[in-house]
Amino acid sequence: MKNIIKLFFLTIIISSCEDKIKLELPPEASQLAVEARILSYEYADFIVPNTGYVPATVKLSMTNGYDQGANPQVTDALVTMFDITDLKIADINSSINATLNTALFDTLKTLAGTKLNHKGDGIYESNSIQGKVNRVYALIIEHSGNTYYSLDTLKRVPKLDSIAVVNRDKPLFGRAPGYFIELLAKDLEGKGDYYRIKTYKNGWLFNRPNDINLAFDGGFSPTSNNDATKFVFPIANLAVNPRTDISDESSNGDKSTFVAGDIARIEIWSLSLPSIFFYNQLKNELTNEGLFARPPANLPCNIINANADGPKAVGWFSASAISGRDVVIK
Amino acid sequence: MLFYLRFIAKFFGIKFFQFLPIVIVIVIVLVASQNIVAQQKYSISGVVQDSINGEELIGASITIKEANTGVATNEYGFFSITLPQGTYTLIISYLGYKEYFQKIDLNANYKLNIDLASESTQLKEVVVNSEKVDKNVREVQMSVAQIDIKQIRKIPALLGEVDVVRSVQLLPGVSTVGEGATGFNVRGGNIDQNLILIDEAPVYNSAHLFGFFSVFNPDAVKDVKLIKGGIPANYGGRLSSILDVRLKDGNSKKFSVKGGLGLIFSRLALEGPINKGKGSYVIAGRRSYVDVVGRPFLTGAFEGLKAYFYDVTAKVNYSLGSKDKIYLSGYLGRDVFGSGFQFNWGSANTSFRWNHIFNNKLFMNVTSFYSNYDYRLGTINTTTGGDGFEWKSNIINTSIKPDFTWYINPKNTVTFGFQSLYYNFKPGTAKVTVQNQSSNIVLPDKYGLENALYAANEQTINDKISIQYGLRFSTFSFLGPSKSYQFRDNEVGDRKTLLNVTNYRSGENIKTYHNFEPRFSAKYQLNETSAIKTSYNRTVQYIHLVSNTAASVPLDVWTPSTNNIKPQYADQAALGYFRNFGQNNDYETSIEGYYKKMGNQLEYVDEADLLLNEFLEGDLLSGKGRAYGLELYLKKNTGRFTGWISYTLSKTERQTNGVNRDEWYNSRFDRPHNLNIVASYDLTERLSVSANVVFASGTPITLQSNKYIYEGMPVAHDPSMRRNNYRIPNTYRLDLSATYKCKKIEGRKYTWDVVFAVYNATNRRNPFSIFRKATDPDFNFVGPDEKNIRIPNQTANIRYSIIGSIIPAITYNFSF
Repeated sequence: MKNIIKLFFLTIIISSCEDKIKLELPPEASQLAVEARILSYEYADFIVPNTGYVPATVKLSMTNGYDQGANPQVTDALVTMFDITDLKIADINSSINATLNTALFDTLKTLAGTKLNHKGDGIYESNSIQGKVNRVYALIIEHSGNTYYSLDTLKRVPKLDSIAVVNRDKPLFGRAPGYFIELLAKDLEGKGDYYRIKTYKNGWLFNRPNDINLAFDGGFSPTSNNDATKFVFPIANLAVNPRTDISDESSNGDKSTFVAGDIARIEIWSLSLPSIFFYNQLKNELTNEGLFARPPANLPCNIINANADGPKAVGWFSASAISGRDVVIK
Repeated sequence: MLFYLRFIAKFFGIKFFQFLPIVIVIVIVLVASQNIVAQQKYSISGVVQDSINGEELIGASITIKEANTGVATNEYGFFSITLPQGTYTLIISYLGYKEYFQKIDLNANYKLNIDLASESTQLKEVVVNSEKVDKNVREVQMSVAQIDIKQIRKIPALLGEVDVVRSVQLLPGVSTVGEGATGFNVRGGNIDQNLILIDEAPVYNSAHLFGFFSVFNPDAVKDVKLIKGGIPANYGGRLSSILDVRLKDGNSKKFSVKGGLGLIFSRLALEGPINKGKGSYVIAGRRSYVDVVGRPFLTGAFEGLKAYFYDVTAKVNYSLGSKDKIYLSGYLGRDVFGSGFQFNWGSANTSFRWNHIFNNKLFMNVTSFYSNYDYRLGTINTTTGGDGFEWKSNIINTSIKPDFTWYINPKNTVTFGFQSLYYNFKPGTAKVTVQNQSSNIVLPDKYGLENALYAANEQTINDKISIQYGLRFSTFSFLGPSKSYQFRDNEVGDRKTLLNVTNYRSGENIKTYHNFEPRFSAKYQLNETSAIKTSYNRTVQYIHLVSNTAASVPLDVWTPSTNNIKPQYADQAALGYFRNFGQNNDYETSIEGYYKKMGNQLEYVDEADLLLNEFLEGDLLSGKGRAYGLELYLKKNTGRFTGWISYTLSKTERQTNGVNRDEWYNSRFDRPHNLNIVASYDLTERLSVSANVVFASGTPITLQSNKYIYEGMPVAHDPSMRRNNYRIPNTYRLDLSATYKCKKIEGRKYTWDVVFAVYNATNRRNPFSIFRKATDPDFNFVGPDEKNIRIPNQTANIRYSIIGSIIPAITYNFSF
């Protein structure tokens, strides 16, 4: 949308412009910020090895003023992860904020979890808990006298059959002519599978807000009816080829994403329903600018303080199964 | 009679005891007619026209010197006045025209058609012997601005192209969220609360190229009137204002051509008589051509870029004898934009009107219209390898409105009538094609029937006091075939959970609403040159623009009131002081204060998904609004120096449970101070210069105070969830223009002028909004094994300006 609008301004001489400015907006109270996940590589056919893979990772920091630079790291928390599938918690995915009642929370505390060790920079990791499909995971963070918890379900992921490489001599939706990759995979049978599809180039993940490529079954909207279909064109053919020019998204025209010799990787990450809404909102909020901007809003949060009157946290905990493949561009 | 009432009751779908409104309407008509006294009276009626091209003049004043009374011509140039037998002097005046005097010995009904000659030279400093034009203080109607198209032409314009909506934005009480935004906000109302009429047919999106130009082709426009308050009972269906744009009838005396060449688009208009002046026509078209001129420069990803708009406005009228006249107007326009993935939008409107003069006192106009606004988005006709996406949406609206004006006597003029509107909303059909296999997303259509019955009387009580009172009774039915949705309320401000969907058959009533809309205006004449006026109106609106963006997108969805969306309503009270100055009322001034309360205003949950979402209603919140302000207006109509100063001091707020912790917050277009100066000076007979100064307070935006990093991306966060908490810097703009006309040579038909315009002459970057982003270029990538992730310590606040430079332009206009 934004690019379309920029193209438009180009064509009518009028040029919109962006200037960096200073704002007088005092920061408000600092909160615990959580980025937590548990993973499982289900299918992987990689050329570039995936050496540093850790299944359970939690990053903790404190929020600060928007213009205050790096966020303070939290290095003194106690972080524990649990497989709580056997507790049979009914339908935790029905609402965006997964909530637990006190009784369940008490039960959780009696279980033996896996402690995630602080590896530095506010990053807590563990190799001793491994994500598994169709299991429910809980996270407990104890910090500054508060206990926060969160839940997510690790959903199934389809096999990534192959990646096609196509050399186009015409531009495709604002992308310059050249090599394009295409994801050849099908959504799993049965409604209610959600995915995030990631593209890497020579081991580097395209990680701009606009690169967040989400699939609701095989389609791009929660209301589209694409169960068990091939991932649709905008997901499988367009968005997997992120725009190249990172400094100015309007001038995406001249370079193609990949050149001969590059190694392209696509990964499909399964997501629970609350998690795909979180990523959808993350993308929406971080690309919300310009003439048609909405009022910015806080992202949803599934990290809950056990004490309802205690300080609230921000962030998200998600569980994903991954299916990935590399291809050499030629 | 009873049968007729039963029939109406059945038509409106209401029970017999709900007949009160009809009874009230009848009472208004009867009370007004009580003033008819048995004394022998005759009427003078007729039509006032321009002597050169035969255009009917709207709002020309007819004064009876001896009776110290007067009327104004209606939208069709018609007037009627009833007087006792006697000898009278009729004075007909209209701004920019020579006055017309006629002595009439009234001993029978008298009919006359008057041709007014326009002032031969605009340079005349003082108009000698002119009857003062004093509509400003004489009319009961307040909160109204009528702008002559000639005046609009003098305002320095963006890219040299004069524009109706952009001119309206310079009036008191009117603001906009920013440069390039579609539409305008009147007295704290949303953009969907303006009823924009083109020859009485509504326009759902008045913008070309987003909001830079409007759909009104100035070559085809005759008259523009904006009513912001004291809205008469014959208008309804929107809360905040009526923008009544009337097209030219076309030159009924001779064939003529008008046109212009500009940087962005060119215009051509043809007009002429039909059957020796029994009728006339006008057809005017525009098309932008940057896409054609710029084609060689569009390479790489820009290849095949389409970006253009066109519109055609046409009208014919024909007199069927002395009592009947018919008009057919049409508008067809489209914006096309994109490359590969494109979107285009446009509308087609037609309105058919029939004027019938029953007798000297009773005038009828029946309007029926059809309007279709649609947009499309996607890989339209450019499907790639059997894959594609196409989304289209429409609003189709048909209506019939018989409207009667009964000139009972000089003291009472009654208007009454009804309007029936049928809506068909097609919120969206999307077709996704994957390898030649298509799947469709079809949102159910929505149908609505809006009916309104109204009556009003404008009554002169004595020399000083005139009042206008009326009532509009409106009903709206949300009809099948469609679906209705029942939701469970979650925590206030969160998306509602769908409980149940009910299917309805064709024509089945899903939900009906009724509303009484009282309207009242009064004038107290202090003396010849000053008056105090007041007004109150309630307005109800049954259609809603669903949009949570700062500027409306052409793809925004309109929806009728449903079981979940209640009709929006507003109550507005206004008080004003009106005064004319100068020998010939050269200066018109007014001070108006208003207070407006609005109910059932749409707001949106944070994660609202408004596009192609069948369960959209679960994402809507309902809030209230309030707006108040003071408007100062000084206008100079005559002489070499003309223009106006408008200043508005105002406040507009919203309150919605679930937003801003349930507290009141400023609306996105709240501009406490808004000053506009429009000035034009005729240096010589051939050269005139104009300037335009705009100063407005910055609009409030939402900015979150805190930040955290999620997966390498900086996320803004506001613990106290404030809305519109930060005001962006003020807007200031100066525009200049100069018009150089060709030499006037007697007998030469071809005339031209050249307009040089400089928009934003001080080269200021007025902010539209401020947004945040990460500026560390490496934040975009996460390294192998996620070990080299770069934390984006550099975040920036970006001031976003739509127009970032001086925009000079040159336009060549011609006519023959």
